[in-house]
Amino acid sequence: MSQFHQVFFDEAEEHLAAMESLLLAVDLAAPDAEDLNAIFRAAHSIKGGAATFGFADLADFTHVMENLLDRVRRGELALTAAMVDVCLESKDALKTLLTAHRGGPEAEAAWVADLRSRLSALSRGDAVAPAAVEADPFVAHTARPPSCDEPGVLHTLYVEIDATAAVDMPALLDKLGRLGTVSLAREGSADAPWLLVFTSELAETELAETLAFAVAPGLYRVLDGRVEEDDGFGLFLSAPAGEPAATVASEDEGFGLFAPLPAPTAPPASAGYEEDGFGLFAPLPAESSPPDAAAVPGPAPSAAPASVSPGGRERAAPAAAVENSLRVSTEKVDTLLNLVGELVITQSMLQQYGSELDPVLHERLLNGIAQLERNSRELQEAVMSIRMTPVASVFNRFPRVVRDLAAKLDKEVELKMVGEHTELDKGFVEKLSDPLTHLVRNSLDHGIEPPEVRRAKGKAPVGRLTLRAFHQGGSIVIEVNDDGAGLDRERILAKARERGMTVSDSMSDAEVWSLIFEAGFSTAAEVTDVSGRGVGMDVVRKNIHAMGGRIEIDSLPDYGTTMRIRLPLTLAILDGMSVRVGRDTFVLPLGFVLESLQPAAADVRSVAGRGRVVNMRGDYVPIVTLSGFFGDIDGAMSEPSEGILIIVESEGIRAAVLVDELVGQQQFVVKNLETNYRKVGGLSGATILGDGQVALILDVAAIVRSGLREGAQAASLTA
Amino acid sequence: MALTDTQQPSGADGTRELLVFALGQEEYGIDILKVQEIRGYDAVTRIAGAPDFIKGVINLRGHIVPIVDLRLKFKLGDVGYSPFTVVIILNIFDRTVGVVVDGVSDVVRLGDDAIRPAPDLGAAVDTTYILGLGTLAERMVIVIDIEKLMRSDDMALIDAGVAA
Repeated sequence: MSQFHQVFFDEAEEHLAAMESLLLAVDLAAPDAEDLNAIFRAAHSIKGGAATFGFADLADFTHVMENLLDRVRRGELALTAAMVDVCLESKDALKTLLTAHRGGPEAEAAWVADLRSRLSALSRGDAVAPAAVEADPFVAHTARPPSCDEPGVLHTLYVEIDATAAVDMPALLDKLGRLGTVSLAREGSADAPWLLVFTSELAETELAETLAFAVAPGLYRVLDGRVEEDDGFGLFLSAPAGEPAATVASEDEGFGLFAPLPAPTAPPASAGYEEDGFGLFAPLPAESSPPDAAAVPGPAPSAAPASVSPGGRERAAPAAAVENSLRVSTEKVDTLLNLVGELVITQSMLQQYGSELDPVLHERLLNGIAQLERNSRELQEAVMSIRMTPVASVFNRFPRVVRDLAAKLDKEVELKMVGEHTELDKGFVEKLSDPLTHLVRNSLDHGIEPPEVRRAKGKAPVGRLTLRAFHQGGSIVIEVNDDGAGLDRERILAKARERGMTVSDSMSDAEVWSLIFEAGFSTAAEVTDVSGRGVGMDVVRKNIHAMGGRIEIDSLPDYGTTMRIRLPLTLAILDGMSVRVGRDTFVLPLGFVLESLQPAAADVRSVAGRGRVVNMRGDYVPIVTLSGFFGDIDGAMSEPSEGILIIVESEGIRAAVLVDELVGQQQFVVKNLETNYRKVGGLSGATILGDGQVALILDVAAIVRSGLREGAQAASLTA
Repeated sequence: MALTDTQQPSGADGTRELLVFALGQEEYGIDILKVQEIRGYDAVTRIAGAPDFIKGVINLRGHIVPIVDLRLKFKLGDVGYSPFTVVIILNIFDRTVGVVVDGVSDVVRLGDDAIRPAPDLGAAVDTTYILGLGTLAERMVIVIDIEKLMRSDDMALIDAGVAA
């Protein structure tokens, strides 16, 4: 499950970022309806994901936020500046909650609760007192951490230098004096270090770096004071600047050194200290301490305060691990893929020339070529694997979704997944999860009936939900199928009229079904936590269109609904069978191939000059020749008994494609013909073979349809 | 005719650089900026069912690029193919297309005043695509609008919907 957490975190971060930029750009006087929808959808998506993965606090918070945004979006509430402010702050809160779930510091519970109540007050239409925020300087600080690197901001830093260090103190003071204001707070002695108070624009890391030139590492440290700004760090306010010694840890506490600092401040601040202070302080020990000291995190950390700091550092590990996935634009990966393809071709060329050389004389060269071959193959596989992911990585999150939702809705549902190994583009995988989640939730909520209703209808009490993925005619098809109630034509039409859409009773089913993709369209009687806000379907369609795909609906009352997402194959990798016809090589997508056979002359019948069929264990299958389909192909065989028949099936119809020879079976990178040329009937794309030649990929669905025309009559006559 | 054609703007100094290639007995010039590279003819995969002057597609560093034989398109008699047959790879209207010609001679810079409107002569290329005739010492170069030519319907290079 944790692997999907990562995906959710990444997605949620994106949604939050999008929400923020939209909120910042929104025009209060005349908010754009599409922007409001987008903000709402971002909240909705986070809620959906959070609920799926059991992050109750996130889901709960976003639910409240969503209520407000929904009313704004519907025009029931006018957007006010206060709302935008609260929403922005809520975004920060969500981010904090999210960070907490990724192993970061805990969020300030009081702050979140306060925001939550303000959100719900706003969504009830009440005025809100923003004073609640200002009252607590710490909260303001958490929402907008001051940037220490901001120019012009003065930092007061305390520098502690071990008395044993051989430091030319007057020279150091002089040096620092040129960078800012420095004063000596305490003379160094045998049992107390030197203490300097330094005020400048330098952040503490910069100061530490400066000091590193003058003082041996490990013998000094820099402690953050407070920023001379109104909303400063707060936590140091209680430590009087004149008595910094009181806040300085004693030497033997080693790395507990920062822990005692927050101790004098009020307890709520300690959490905040941990959150922000951590980021500021953590790099320091590493920088200002020798490696051996780093290995010993405080020999005897004092009980309560010390546990804060090491705890914080332990949590740093997962926070850092979060960054181990890298998001790269697909364009870069495509370029890489093309370059590697070229490399492989160059390598096979070298290999071919190398094979003509005398192996004794050129042993080292040939070894090098062999090595190059291995390396480039591995490189190619690695690059390919960047892009391709089995659809299972999307599907695998659904067993949990379905289980939880079914429990919530008091329904019994059995989930079946088919074709999880179908590989598809990584870009699609990421973009598919949202729409698919919406479709699955919709099917469960609206499609599949409660058990008692199902029994009354004479169906099995357990509903069936099928997720299916497969390749079809140059597309990847992903289906969400349920055996539920089906779409209610009358209700959709009624709802459409209610919303003032122009509809008529004579619309075809397909047209009626497509109405549910309109924004804000929901036929659910009441808004539930699961679905029914009418946000899902328009997002689904939008996302799928963005991927260059389309979505279709099949629905029959009481029989069920199938939502079919059809995605283009661009850059999908295809398992294919390469075949030779005449001098040309073609690729047949393996998904369509049933079997291949060499027919006996007696099994091939020709029917009244209309075409030929082959007798396959009693079934008559029409024979399609590529010459017949494309016009003449030089040197192509025309006699089935001399060549090989490949039996293909598309949409339940079979045809036998006549080829001269089977060449091999491998994976091909699908290239679009239309980029530089145009659509060619019967071809779904092109690919590049190992020798650099282009091979064309056959569109089996089109070929089978032509076979149907050519040979169906023949088959029926023979049979 | 269309010396002011916007498709082929002349340089600021009133001159244009042309790549000169031979087709049959004639020399043609095209805007050098439309040319991506020049390469030999090899490994063309035929597209069954395409017109004969579309030789097929090649793999140009991972891109599938169609190859048009202008000699066949303009019916310039016998054509042969060898690794020395020249293919000019063009970059036009955001696409990459290769054209087969008899040979590339040189790159010349012609002043706009050196280009005269073409009379309706018997050149292989339809006058619609001819920008003018350039004189270069003893030679005559037919300046053509390669983009307009490749975009034309009878080239069948792009889908009708896209071409519009």
